[in-house]
Amino acid sequence: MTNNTNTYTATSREADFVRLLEDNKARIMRLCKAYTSSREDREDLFQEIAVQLWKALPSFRGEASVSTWMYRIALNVSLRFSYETKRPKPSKERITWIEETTPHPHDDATRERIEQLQRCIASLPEVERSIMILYLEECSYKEISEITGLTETNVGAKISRIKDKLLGCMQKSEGGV
Amino acid sequence: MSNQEDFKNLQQLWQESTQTDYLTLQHETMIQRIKTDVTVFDKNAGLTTWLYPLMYITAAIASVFVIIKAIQKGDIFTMGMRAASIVLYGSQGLFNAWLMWKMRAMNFTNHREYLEGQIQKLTWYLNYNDRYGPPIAIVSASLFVLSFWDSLEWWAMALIMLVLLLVLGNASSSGEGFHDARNLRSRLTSALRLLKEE
Repeated sequence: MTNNTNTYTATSREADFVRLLEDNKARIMRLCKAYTSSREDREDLFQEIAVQLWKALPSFRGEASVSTWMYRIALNVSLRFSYETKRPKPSKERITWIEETTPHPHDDATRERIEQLQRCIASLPEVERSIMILYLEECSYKEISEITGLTETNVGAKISRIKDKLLGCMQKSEGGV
Repeated sequence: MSNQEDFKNLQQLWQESTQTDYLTLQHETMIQRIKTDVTVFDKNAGLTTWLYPLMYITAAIASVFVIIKAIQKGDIFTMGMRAASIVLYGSQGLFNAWLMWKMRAMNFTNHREYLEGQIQKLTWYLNYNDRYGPPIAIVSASLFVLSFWDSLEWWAMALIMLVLLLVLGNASSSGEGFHDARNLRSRLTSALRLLKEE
């Protein structure tokens, strides 16, 4: 009986984990892309986030939403990874390697804008980058505040400043093209 | 356009940016693994160095000298064996050289082209070896046994030849000789199908 219960728990945990990863793989991948500069690093970071989510899954009690909980872990792992590896920030060459080797569904203009956006995000300081990624992922101020530990007012003020910075960077890049 | 609208566009762009990245990474990983296997196969099949074609062509040239001596002696059996070895070794050497040249001339700009190119290469390789592999193996084995001609009794020679032919015949009919090539081609075909589907 105990064995059956254990088996059920393990299976259920595995199923929850697979569902969590399936539902959020694109979000995690976007996050990984913002904090890494090469494919190898991106794969390592994705794997590290997955491992940490797996380890933390039993302690998730539903006090926060799943996405808040997941972002909190994923951002912490990404920041730690970024500090530990101390890799150079993504350059144009490194970011576009995938597009160079694989056909991309977007047209040239959209692809160029995506690359600009990635470059601009990569150029932001760590904390601002985290906040902006969460905002771009359509997290509310409340969620961002819960994930980063900042107050909602502070989040609001920062977002307004970072938005201007990001739009400025995009306009500058487009002007330069 | 207002800043708010501009930012909405950026949000949409961000959401779209990595929609395919997960798949792309999966493809990248799959292709990297396949590339490693292709490299190992090419090395084993002698497609990475000109040494193999040169070796076969040298063997064919050496047979020319032997055949000249055999003609002088009037040794019909050796003449027949060596004539077969010239044709088989020569064609094998030229085929390897042609395949290497063909692969080097190919220019792969994306994964799909790479997979299609490798499948084509393996198809050529298998088509050639299915046709000429068994006779080359039989001639090589026969020449090997003939080198013991003077030191063996006729029945020992016949026994060795029989065993060799049985082993080669069995390997040829079961396709074991080119198992790696068939296996790799089937993996490449599955990978290409996956790439096309997604």
